[in-house]
Amino acid sequence: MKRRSFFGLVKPRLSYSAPPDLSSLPLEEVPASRTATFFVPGALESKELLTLKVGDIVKAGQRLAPFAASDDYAVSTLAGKVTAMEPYTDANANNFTAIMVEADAQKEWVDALDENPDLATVAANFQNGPGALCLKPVLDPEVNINTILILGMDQDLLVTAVQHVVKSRTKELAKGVKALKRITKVSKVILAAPSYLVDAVKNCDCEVKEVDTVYPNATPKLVMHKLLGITVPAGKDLIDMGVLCVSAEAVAALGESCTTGKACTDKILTLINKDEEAVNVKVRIGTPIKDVLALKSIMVNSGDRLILGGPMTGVATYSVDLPVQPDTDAIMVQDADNLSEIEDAACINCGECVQVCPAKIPVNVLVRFLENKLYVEGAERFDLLSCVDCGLCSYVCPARIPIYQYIGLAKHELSRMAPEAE
Amino acid sequence: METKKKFVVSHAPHWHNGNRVSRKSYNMMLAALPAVAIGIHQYGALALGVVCIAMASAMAWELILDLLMKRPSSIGDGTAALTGLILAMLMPPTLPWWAVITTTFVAILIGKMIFGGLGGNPFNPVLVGYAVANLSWKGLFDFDAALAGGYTFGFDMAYPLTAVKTAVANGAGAEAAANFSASALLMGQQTGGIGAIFGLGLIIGGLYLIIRGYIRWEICLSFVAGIFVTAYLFKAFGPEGAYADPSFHLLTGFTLIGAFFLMGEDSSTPVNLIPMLIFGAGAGVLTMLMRNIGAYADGVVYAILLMNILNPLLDMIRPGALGKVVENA
Repeated sequence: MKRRSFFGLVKPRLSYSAPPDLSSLPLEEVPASRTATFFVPGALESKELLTLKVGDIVKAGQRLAPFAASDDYAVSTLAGKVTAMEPYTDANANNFTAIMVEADAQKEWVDALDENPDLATVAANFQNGPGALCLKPVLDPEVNINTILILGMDQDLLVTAVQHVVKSRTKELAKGVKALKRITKVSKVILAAPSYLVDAVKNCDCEVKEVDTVYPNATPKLVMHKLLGITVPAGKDLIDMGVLCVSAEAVAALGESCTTGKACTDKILTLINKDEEAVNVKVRIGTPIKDVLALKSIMVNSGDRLILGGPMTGVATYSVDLPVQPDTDAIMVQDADNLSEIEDAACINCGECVQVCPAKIPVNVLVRFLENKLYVEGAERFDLLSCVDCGLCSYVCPARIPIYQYIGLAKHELSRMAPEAE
Repeated sequence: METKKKFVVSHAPHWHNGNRVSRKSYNMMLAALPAVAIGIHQYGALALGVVCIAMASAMAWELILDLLMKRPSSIGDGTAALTGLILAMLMPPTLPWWAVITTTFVAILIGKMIFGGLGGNPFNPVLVGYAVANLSWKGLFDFDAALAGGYTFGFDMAYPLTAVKTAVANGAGAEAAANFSASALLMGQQTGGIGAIFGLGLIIGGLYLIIRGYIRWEICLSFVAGIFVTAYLFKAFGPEGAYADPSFHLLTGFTLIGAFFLMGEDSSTPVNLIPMLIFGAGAGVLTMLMRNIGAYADGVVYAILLMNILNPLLDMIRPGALGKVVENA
């Protein structure tokens, strides 16, 4: 854990980690698991109405679409038999249906992808691929996407998975950029990468911008503000500004698929052990977390914390049976003895959060409103929606108020209120 | 998805820089030690007694009031002990024990607890306690009267600010101030509050707190600058020889303890840059107005209390947030 420096006059500077030297450290691969789990958006209500049933045989790369009425589905990364379907609710109270597939000996693949896939195919297939490429906004006639922003930088501290992709899969990335341009017909593509990776992406046919490596400068809204000169108004997102933000890993996966004709099933993720040593591993999407942890013999016991993502923005989860998802860039384990505690204390108005906030939010006042559930006032008067989700306010709070959690709750409540107001 | 092991699930971030409220309190007490030590050295056991009673009683009041108000115990954050210590630093060593205990009671109850505890107080609790006690027992807090009985030192024993105040009325403030050399004031060769006489110690403590980031330099330095500039203007544009040097005002009374220890209270001070500068400078200007043309010999306490009232208003001057939407613009 990074500690407050002795000299507290300057605000904390947390830097993103640089990826390891690839030549000395070959990428370890998590052995193929016998089972894999995939999440499809939508609540599992009645098993009778499903188009997919337990016991069905699926091929690798096949769509798992249990709901006839919905166009949401997952892509199986292995060939086998559906063994279970269960409801799953994530940390933001979104409902999913978990589909478990057990591998058989066939290893059969569905028909190959076209070498020049069209937009609809890519949009459909790659949202379940590594990096979760979401091209739905491009298909939406009401949205005008004029710029694609490729993030060649990880979003959290200690995590180097995306950077690893940028560094090691330069050819696929360049090819993916080309394919992305052709498929989406968006000509303005910008790749944001840290200074030490600019060389690695010089062959990409797009504009390259340098990201500052001090946290949280790689956050999409801050990249927009600092590198593209576009400030996203509070309450809007990048799509509203005509900018589609995608992960470099997703673009590399697209490039690879255009060559091989197969859906990309493996992703790189950063595995962070209890001593905060990070190592990048390659893992098939859908693999249970316990199999990833087993590769480095990381033991997780009761009272520990298991985090999907990095230390600042990761989501703590409750089971090692949960799978690696398309956008899981890191798995972090914290020992029970090293957990930072949260306290139910009042704000003492020390101002550290105000100094550290990259969005210049008056956090000290905002948190008083949020503690009292005054979410609308918080948004209207105290800039709640300017938040870029970096978590630095909670990180520095001497009263240990879970400020970022209050902010997350407030945003969630406001988003639930919004449809009712209309 | 059954699981036997129970993990801790909590919201991000999963790191913390390890800071806590009590750290600031203990560091401020540490920074105050040099000044307090010299005060005790100069005034002897009486001063030690006042410091001990003030700290102990402040902590006791906090404990008792927490119990009575059915609040979770907040003694662990160290702010009650700090309030007691800073109050003692402002007091003359001869203050009777009952006055000390009453002062800390007012500071903790009216200064802090009735507003819901630390963070809710609109005023600095120390200043509320001191102001109430000082108005109630003016004679006990008068340094000249308090020290007349039992102490003899090898330097001018008149309380510098009172001496100059009297002289200013006769138009001879500069002459009176000339009796106190800057080096003597800096080294603690003056009378005054237990922890307020050793200028050098207060400056070292203050710089330590600024470097460690426990107090906000913007407020401290703008306060010092406010005093300096106002005192300079008085001297430069007032009647010849009527007002004391800026350096005299910087090193006497509660200026330094105010700059570093009274201004260092979080809840009653602003957090944005421009408000912090206005707050500090405003308190400095008010202090000098009171000292030179007001009724009080030392205006620091009332100047800061007045600025505390302005704090919520001042803190509305803040930078626009990222992507702030201005309606009806």
